Amino acid sequence: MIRYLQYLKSCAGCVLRGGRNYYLWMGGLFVLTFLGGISWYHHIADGLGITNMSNQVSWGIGIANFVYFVGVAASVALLIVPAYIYRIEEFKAVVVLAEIIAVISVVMCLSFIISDLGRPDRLLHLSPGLGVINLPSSHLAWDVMVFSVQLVLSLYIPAYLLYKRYLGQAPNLAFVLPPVMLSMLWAVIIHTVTAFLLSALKSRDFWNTGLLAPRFLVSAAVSGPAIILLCFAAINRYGGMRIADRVFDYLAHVLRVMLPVNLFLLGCEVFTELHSGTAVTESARYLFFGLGEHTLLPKFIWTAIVFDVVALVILLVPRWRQQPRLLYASCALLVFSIWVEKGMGLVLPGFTPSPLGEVVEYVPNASEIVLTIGILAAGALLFTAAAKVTIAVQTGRLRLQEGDA
Amino acid sequence: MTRSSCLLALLCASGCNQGIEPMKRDFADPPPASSVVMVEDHPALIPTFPCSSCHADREPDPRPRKLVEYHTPKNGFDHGTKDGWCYRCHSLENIDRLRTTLGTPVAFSDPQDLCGSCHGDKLIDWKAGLHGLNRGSWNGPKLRQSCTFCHDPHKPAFEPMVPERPPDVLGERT
Amino acid sequence: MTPEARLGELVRLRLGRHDTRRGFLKTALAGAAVASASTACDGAGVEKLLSKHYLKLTDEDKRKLFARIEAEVLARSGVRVTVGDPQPMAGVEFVHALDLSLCNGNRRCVEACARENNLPDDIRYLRVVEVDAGTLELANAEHAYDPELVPRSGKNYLPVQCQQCKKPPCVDACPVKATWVEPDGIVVVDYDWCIGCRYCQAACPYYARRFNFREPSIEPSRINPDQAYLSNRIRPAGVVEKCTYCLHRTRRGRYPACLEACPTGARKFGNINDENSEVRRMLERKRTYVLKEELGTVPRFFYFFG
Repeated sequence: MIRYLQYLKSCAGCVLRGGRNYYLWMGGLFVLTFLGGISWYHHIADGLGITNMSNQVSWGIGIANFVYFVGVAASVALLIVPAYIYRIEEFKAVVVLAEIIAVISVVMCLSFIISDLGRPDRLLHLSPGLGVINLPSSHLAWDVMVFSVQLVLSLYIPAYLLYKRYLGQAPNLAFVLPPVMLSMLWAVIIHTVTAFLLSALKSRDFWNTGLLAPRFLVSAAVSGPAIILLCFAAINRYGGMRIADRVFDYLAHVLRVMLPVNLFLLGCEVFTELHSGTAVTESARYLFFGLGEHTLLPKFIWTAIVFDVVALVILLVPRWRQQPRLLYASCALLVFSIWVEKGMGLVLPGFTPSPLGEVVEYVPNASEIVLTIGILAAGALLFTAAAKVTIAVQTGRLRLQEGDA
Repeated sequence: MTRSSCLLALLCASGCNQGIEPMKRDFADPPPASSVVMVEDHPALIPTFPCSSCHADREPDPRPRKLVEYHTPKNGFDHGTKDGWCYRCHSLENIDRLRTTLGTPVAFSDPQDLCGSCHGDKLIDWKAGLHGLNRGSWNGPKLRQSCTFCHDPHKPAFEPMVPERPPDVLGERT
Repeated sequence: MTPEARLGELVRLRLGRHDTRRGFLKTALAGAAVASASTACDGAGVEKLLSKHYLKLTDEDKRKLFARIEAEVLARSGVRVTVGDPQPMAGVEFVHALDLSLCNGNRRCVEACARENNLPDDIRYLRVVEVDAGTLELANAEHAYDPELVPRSGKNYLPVQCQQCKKPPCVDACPVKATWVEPDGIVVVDYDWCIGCRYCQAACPYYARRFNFREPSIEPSRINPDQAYLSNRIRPAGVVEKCTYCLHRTRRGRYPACLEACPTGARKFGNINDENSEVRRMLERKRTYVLKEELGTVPRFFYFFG
C-alpha cells in the first residue's frame, strides 16, 4: 500500500516536472479546459437554452462528439490484435499508450454526454441500486452499461501493466490476457451498441439502416488509427521514446485498407438513399445537397469527402506515404473528415427534417464550441500527463528505487 | 472470472432486478354509463321570432320572387341549389313551423329533423356523437347542440376563421 | 357476423393486435419498477434530496410532495394551485379521434392546450400542419402557415399531438423509466425523475415530446391552478414533457381542453372499451387513418373522415 502511494507520488512528480515548452503546452491546455469548464457551468446554471439545440434538433455537437470518440476508444483494439494475438513485441510496448487513448476517449465521451443532459444532477437515477435502469428495453441504458465496463477495462489494463513495470516485475499474464481479450471484444460491443442506439430508432429514417453499425466500425478503423498515429508521432518527436516504425507501418496499412471500405459503404448508402428518392430520404438530401436555404452541412460533407479522397491517394502512392509529413497530413485530413462524416454528418440529418417534415438547421453556437474545445483540451491534457508517466515508466526512468520500499 | 466481468455481472444483476417489481395501483372507480344525452335548445336566431307575429294576418305567397324586406338572411343565402325558396324548409301551413322534404312539420327547436331529411348521414353521425360539438362528460351526461348552434341554416358552410399564431420559425424556441 | 362481433373484431384488430388477452394494461406496467434514489444536492431543500420515482411514492410521500410543489408555486408566482393525482379508472382506455374533413387549421386547440397545461410561450404540445389537398405527406407540410383566414383553398390541415401509442418507442428509449404507459393508455412523464437526455425525443416518430430548454415562465394570471402531478403542473427546467390527454380533466370525466376548444367539432374522445362512447362508434362506422401506422406504434389516436 505504501509502495503504491509512493508510486502515485512519483507519477505526480513526473507530471509536474518538465521543460518550458511542456509548461507552455500544459498551461495552454489548462486555460482552454478552464474556459470549457465555465461554459459547462453555464450549461448547468442557465439550462440548455443557451445552446442552439431545439425541440426539432434535440441533439447537437455534444452527441456528435460522443459518437466520434466512441470510435476512437474502440479502435484501440486494432493495436491489441498484433500485440496479443500475433505477439509482436514492438506492439506490446505501445498497448499501454493505446489503452490510455482509449480511457481518455471514454472519459471524453462521458463528459460530452453528461454536459448534454438536461438534469446532470439526476445522474444517479442511472446508477444500479440507487436508480432505475430500463433494461432490456432502452438502448441508452445498455450503452451506459457497456461504457461503464469499458471505462473499468481501459483503466485497469494500463494501470496494472504500468505498476508492474514500475515495480520491475513481469506482469502476470493471467491478470492481463483475459481483460485484454475482453477489451478487444468490448471495442466491437461499445461501438455496436452505440450504433444500435441510433439505428434502432424507427422514427429516424436516416439512422434506421442496418449499414449503420458496420459503417461505425469501419469509420472508427479510420479515425482511430489516424489519431493514434498522430499521437505516436508526437511522442516520437517530443516524448523521448522511440516507437517502432513497424507500428506506424501497421497503422498506415490499416488506414489503407479501411479508408476505401469506408468510402465504399458511404457510396452504398448514398446510392440507395438518393436513387430511391422517396420522402424518407429527405435527410440524405439535406446532408448532401441541402434543403431549401439550409446548405451548411453539404459544404462540410463534400469537404470531408474530398479530404477522404486526397488522404486515400496519399496513402496509396508508396512514394508519398513514406514521407512522414504527407502521412501525418493525410491522418489529419482523416481526423477531420470522419468527424464530419460520423459526427455532425450523422447526428444532424437524423433530426432534419423533423418527423413532421419541418426543416430546422442547427449550427452550434459559441458556448457549445467552447465547451467542446474545453473537453478536447482536457483530453489532450490528460493524455499528455498520462503519456509522460507511461513513457517514464516504460523507458525505466521511473522505477521503484531500492531505498523507496 | 476477471474483475471486470464480475463487475459486468453485478451491474446486470442489479439493473435487471429492479425491473421485476410490478406496480401496484389503486384504480379510481369505473366510469358510470355514458349514454345520457341532452339536446340543448337553441335561442331564436332572429329577434322577430315567432314569425307569426307578422305573418299571422298575411296570406302566404308560395311563388319564388326577389325578397326586398328584411327577410334576406344577413349572411346571404347559400344552401343547396340556387332555386331554393323559403317554403322548401318553412312550413306554408304554419309559419311558426319548419317542414322536412316530405312535408312533415318540425319545430324550430328540433332543426336536426329538418336538416336530417336531406343530410341523413350527418343526422346519424350527430345522434352517435360523431358530428358536432361534444359537451359535458365523456363518461357522464352529455350535452348535444343542434345544427343551428354552429351552422347558419341559410348559409351553413363555416365562415373562414382567423388562425391563432403559428409556431416560431426556429421551432418553438423564442 | 353480428354487428357486435364485427365491432369486437375491429377493436381487437386496431388496438389489441399485439395481445391475445386484454392484459396489456398489466404488461405495459409490468416493467415499471422503481427504486428510490437520492439526487445530488442542489441546495433547495432537504426533501429534494430524497426524490423518488412516482411509482414508488406512498400516499404520505405524495401528500408532502404535492404540498411542497404547491408552496413553491405560491412563493414564486403568488398563485394558489392544487396539485392532484387522479388515478386511472378501471376498465378505461382512452382514445382520441379527429375528423380530418372538419379541421380547418384555426389552431384554437393549440392555444387552449397551452392555457390548460401551463405551457410557456416556447412550448406547444400540438402542431397543426398544412398539407396540399390530395396528400397527407408530411415531408412537404407547412408548419408556420399564417394567412389572414383559414382554411386556405387547396389545403388540408392535420393536427398532430402525442398519439399515446400502445407500443411507444419513447417509453422503450428512456434509460431510467421516467416515462411509462398508464393503465388507461396515457403515456406520462415523471418530471422529477427525467434526467433530460432527450433520447425519447429522438425516438418519437410524431414530434410529440418537448424539452424544457429553460425554466418555464408563465404569467401568474395565466396559470391554471387545477393541476396534477403527472400532467399540467409547472415543469422544472431540463426535463421532457408531452400531451397527457389532459389527464387531470379526463380522469375526472371531463373532455380534453383541445376538444372543447375546437370550433368545428372535429375532435372526439372517450373510452374505447365503452360500447356507447363516441370513439367506439367512430371506429365502428368511419373510415379511419392512423398516422405512420407502418411503424407499428399502435396509436390511440385516430384520424377519421366524417
